[in-house]
Amino acid sequence: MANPEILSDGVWAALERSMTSRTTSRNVSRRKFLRFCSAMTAALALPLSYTTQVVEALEQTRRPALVWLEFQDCAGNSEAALRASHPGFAEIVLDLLSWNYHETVMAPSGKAAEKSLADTLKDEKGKYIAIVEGSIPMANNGIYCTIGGRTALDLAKEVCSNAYATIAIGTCATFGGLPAAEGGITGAVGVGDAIPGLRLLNLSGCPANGANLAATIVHWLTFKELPATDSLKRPLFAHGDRIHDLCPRRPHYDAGQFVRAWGDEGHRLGWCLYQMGCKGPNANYNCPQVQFNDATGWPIGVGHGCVGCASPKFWDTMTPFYRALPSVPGFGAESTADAFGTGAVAVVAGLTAAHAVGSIIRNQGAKSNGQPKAKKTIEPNQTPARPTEE
Amino acid sequence: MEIPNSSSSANKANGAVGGVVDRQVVYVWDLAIRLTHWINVFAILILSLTGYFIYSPFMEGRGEATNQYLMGTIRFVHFATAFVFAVNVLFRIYWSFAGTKYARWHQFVPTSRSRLRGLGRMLRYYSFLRREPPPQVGHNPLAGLAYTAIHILFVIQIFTGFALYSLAYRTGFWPSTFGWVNLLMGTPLVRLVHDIVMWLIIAFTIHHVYSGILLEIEERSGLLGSIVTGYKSLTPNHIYESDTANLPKKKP
Ligand code: SF4
Repeated sequence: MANPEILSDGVWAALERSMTSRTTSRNVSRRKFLRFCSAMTAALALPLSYTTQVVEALEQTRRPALVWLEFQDCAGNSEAALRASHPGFAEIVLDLLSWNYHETVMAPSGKAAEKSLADTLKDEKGKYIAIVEGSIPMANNGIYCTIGGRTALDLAKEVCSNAYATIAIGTCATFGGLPAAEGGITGAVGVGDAIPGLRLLNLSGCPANGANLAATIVHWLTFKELPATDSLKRPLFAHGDRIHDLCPRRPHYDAGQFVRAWGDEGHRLGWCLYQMGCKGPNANYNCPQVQFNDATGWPIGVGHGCVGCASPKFWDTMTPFYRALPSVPGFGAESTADAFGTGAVAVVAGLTAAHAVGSIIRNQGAKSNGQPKAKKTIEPNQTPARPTEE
Repeated sequence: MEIPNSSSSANKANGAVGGVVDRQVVYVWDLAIRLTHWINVFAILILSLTGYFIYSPFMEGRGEATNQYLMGTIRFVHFATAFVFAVNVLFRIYWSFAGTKYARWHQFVPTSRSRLRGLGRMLRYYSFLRREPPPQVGHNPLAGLAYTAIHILFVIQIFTGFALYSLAYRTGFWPSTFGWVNLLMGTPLVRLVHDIVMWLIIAFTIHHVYSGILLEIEERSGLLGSIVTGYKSLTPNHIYESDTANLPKKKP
């Protein structure tokens, strides 16, 4: 994270200009505000000089509206976003936007809550940001998740199609997540699959990192557009690089130093977790840089392999979490690729050996029948005798 | 090759004098076939060993990580060999349309009735229902079919391999060409397929070497040496029967 003490002159100039502006009228110290701006610039992978632009944009923002819908979710993304106290998500982002509807945290309830949602849809049509958390059930007309008597799909359709843009937050909202895992009966899908054609940004992860949500909002406020995305509509600033390529344990991977059992010497020395099933080589996310819990830690940092939570269908494709390779489909849950492969080779080798024995017996039989095979007594390279006509 | 219209029993009579069959030395495998074969052998050996190490490292880099690059080196060897292998397979596929007679695709995909019939005969031979392997100059139809299958495995291996290789790149040729494989199956499944196909190729190799030895013993045609020299020494019977499209033997 960029340190406010080393901000460029331009940033300080922007700060001076903003001295009398809204920053000081907030409950946020200007130092904290600047720290937030530089952290967001860093999270967006922009050069530090952009901090000026970010500061100015955030100064001038006219508090656009935001509604936060929750469907088949655990509110984990709400938690993660609101608890991202460093660099002041709750204080600053909540202040930058008019947070009009968010079931987990809003004060109104019942009709009053529904009214604030309806008002936003009417008054801010095409201007507000819709955030969707949780998957949308499609089976049985979506009856598995209803709010105020309306299905999740119905609500999402109305709210998202009237928004400037939709941000799907968390792996359930982006790709269906846990409710969509094998065995799920609700026909859960992510927002993009439920309502095609939306202007959509997928902030995947379980939970999505609150810092990435803040950075996305800052990007929108600063540049008036959503950040660039990959083919899964995930922002490149957060999902452009592979965890494996950013991982602080990577030198141990390259050196061939692996944790072989939990708590062994390699584990205590911070070696690579690949043999313990780390899915970092399959996962693109900025966890190593941005980290969680006030940037104090992240899974691999604290000694647990990555589970690839930001990837589509991670619960089905990345399991078993504690093995390097998945089980072989159709051969029982415990069949590893190794057992299958060596088994296949053993079967072929066995069959081959049996066939060899059979062939030897057959040739012995031919010999004892007194029919030496003419072709075995041949002198090679003799002048060929062409077949001639009768 | 000019093959007169005669019955095979007559050939045998003409060819075998006093129990000795005259052999004709035939150039079967052109240089490209032999080269691609041996490049495949060494590439598969190196790729299997390094690939298995990447999946399950059986050695450990000792000491400070700064001074070690064991996995890095092995992966480099794996990738470098993979490029050689991929180009080799690509060329071999091209050569099956542009190469000499016994390099061509009809040796691999049995389309003619005679080769389809030869398929059954070879199967009967392998299952001890037939005494002699059906004579062939190039690949027997069953072997050809097996090589088609192995090339499909090669192509799967190349696509899954480059898909995994592309993960290290953010944009550009590799992700845009092979990235779809990862999106289609999920990366761990790509790794699983890449691993299992390796085992299938090893299993194929066992059978491949065995059937080579078996047919060498049966036919004494210099089959094993032919993949080095290109020449087989064949009986007129072989050449005749192979080129007259495996007609059923007429009993006099
Ligand atoms: S711990 Fe995981 S992400 Fe880190 S180097 Fe090892 S395999 Fe890669």
